[in-house]
Amino acid sequence: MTAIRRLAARLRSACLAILAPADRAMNRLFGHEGNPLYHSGVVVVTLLIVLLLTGVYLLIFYRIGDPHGSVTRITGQTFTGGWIRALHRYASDVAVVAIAVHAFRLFAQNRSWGPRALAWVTGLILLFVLLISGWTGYVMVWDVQAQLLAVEGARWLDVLPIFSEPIGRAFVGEAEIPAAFFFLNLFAHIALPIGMFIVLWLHVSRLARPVLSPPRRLLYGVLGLLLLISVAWPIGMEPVADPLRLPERAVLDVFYTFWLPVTRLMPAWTVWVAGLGLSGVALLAPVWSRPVAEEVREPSWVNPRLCTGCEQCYQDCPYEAIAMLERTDRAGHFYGHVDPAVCVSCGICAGSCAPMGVGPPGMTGRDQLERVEEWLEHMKPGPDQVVLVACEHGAAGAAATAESLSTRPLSEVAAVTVRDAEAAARGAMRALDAAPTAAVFGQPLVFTVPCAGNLHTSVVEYIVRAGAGAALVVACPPRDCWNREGPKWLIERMYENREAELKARVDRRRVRVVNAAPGEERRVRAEIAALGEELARMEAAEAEEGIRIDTICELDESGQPIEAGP
Amino acid sequence: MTRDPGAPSVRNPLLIALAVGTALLAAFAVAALTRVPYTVGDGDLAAVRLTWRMAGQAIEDCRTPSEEELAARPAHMRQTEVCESHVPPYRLRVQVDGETIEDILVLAGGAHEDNPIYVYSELRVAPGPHELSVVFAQEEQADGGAGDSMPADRLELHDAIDLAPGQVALVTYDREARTLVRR
Repeated sequence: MTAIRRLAARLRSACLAILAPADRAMNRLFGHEGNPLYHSGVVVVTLLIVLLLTGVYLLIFYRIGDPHGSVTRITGQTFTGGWIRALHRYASDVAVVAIAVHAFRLFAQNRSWGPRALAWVTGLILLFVLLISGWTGYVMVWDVQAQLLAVEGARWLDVLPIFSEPIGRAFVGEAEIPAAFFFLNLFAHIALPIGMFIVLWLHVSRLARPVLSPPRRLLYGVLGLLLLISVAWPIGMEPVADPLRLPERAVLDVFYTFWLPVTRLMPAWTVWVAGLGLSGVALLAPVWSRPVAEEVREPSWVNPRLCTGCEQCYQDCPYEAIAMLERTDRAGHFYGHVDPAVCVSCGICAGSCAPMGVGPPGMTGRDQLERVEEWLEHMKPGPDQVVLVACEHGAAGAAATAESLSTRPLSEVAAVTVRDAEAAARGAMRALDAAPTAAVFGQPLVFTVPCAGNLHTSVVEYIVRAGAGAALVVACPPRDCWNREGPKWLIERMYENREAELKARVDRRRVRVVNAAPGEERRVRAEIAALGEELARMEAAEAEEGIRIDTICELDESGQPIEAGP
Repeated sequence: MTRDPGAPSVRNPLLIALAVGTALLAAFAVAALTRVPYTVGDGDLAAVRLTWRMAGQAIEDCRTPSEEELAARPAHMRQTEVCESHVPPYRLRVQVDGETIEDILVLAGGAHEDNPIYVYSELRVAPGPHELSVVFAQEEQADGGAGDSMPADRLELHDAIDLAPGQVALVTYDREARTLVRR
């Protein structure tokens, strides 16, 4: 299994090598708010609603006694039917693409295993149900493509020893196709999408505060484009199916019937073997794509001695992995408890804990402080320098990590060497093209963190109080946090006093946050330039000696952190 | 200290044009890929499609159970005669212009081969006039011969056909006439 997992890691890297430039290109074109690759999952929900609404309209005019004729009449309606039918078709096509992109993205980003297995499996079920539903939709039209699909489906089913009579005989032309067939087909076409909404609920059931709609800009963009193409290029009608004619040519929808030219040449049982085999491999991805044991980050852990029961980590956890349990030593008081089966080790809780008592091993606020302390000692940022606190998936962090000499993510390296840190800074600066700004003021430095969402505000405080000109946190776009909700909580902790907030004693003029994905280096550059100009007008930053960051929130009578534990 | 303004990064008119162009191209690609012409490749041929369902003539094997067998059974299951029946296989032979293009055994349905027989076979032939000959006959003679009330043990069709490209000649079973017919 280890060999398979190492192979899966290579495959994942290859996928990421495709995804990252695609993301960068989309970010450059549409900005992160409009990047359809980021929002592929929620775009599907929008499309399902479009399908539901247009489907209801089509259903009103569809007749099971005259399938082809009724669809022809719908298509010929002067003002509505034509484009509504096209919109129904195009939305279903884009839904398939969006699901495929979503699955590809999650696999590439190492999010297809562990506690995310349920989402992975239900996502594949959604895709499967959508494809079957599409199949029934095409059969409803009863044109040549429908005939091919119906005959092919019957051929597959007839090798299963479960039907008393071969289904294929219904389509040989011996008798008229019974209306019951079209009724059953219509029933499946309606029932399956309804079932999809139930699976969708399961799909997001492990997420706290699931977001199901894309940003407005993207929403309007997708709907507008679909509407435009539906009006400009509506779907026509193909000849009616005739069982007593051999079809010479048909028009296929690549998104739903791409397999037809291949499977028609295969014996039915091999289609089953191939289909079940591929489905099995995809469904078992949570098993084979799980990284080898030494690369799996341990789940978060709450230190009950430090936990004050404030519930902030419980509220912030994007996966509802933290529960508040009653203390056994003090009735009426609670402490946080992480369910390791649900925790994805994102470390968002580490940023939410004022006393720094929670987080995956090596990522708690205390661990972050140790790292930044060591880093500051090596790098010694001056009053004219901006320190980029860069999420390793964001615009600056990705470049820094790529350039780093370390074989592991910089944020996971306990002791950052000067050589490594300098190489990382060079990489980020090259990507940001920050040389012109560096000429005006000092060369920016880069401190990489695994996720801006688990960045403890004390790290920013430490950097500013240690004498750096300013700290610029470069976070991922709010809707593309690899760990969900990280940038959202970061902003609230920095600006809106969300626990654990940036303390009032920190000079606010020297702190900024920018959301920028790879491909949006321009944003970071602009922020660095703006910050540099402000620094030039400000008095020089002074380094404090003997900085002491409060790490204990509540002490008992003897001055010790509150003891706790189940 | 300011928040991320979240302003779109697309401000350059060239980038805006490129973004709009990309979006339109994507929409066009979706619309084009939903209607890809596919040559099925069957239209320049014709076909003879043989399809019918019929109850085959069954063979019944009856025997008298031994005393020990009967004694081992509950009282209500002690039948003096035990009969099992099955439909022997039929052979389907199709000739076009004297050339055999299909020669297969057709088994009755069900695990015990005692269910109706389903025939389904589609044979490609060149368009034009042909002499078609279909023989569907039981391999093993069943009991009782082929009386009026018994299912047929041999069906035949000999016909001249003239097929246009893409046309399907359907050969099926007429239950009333108890013979193969062409439609």
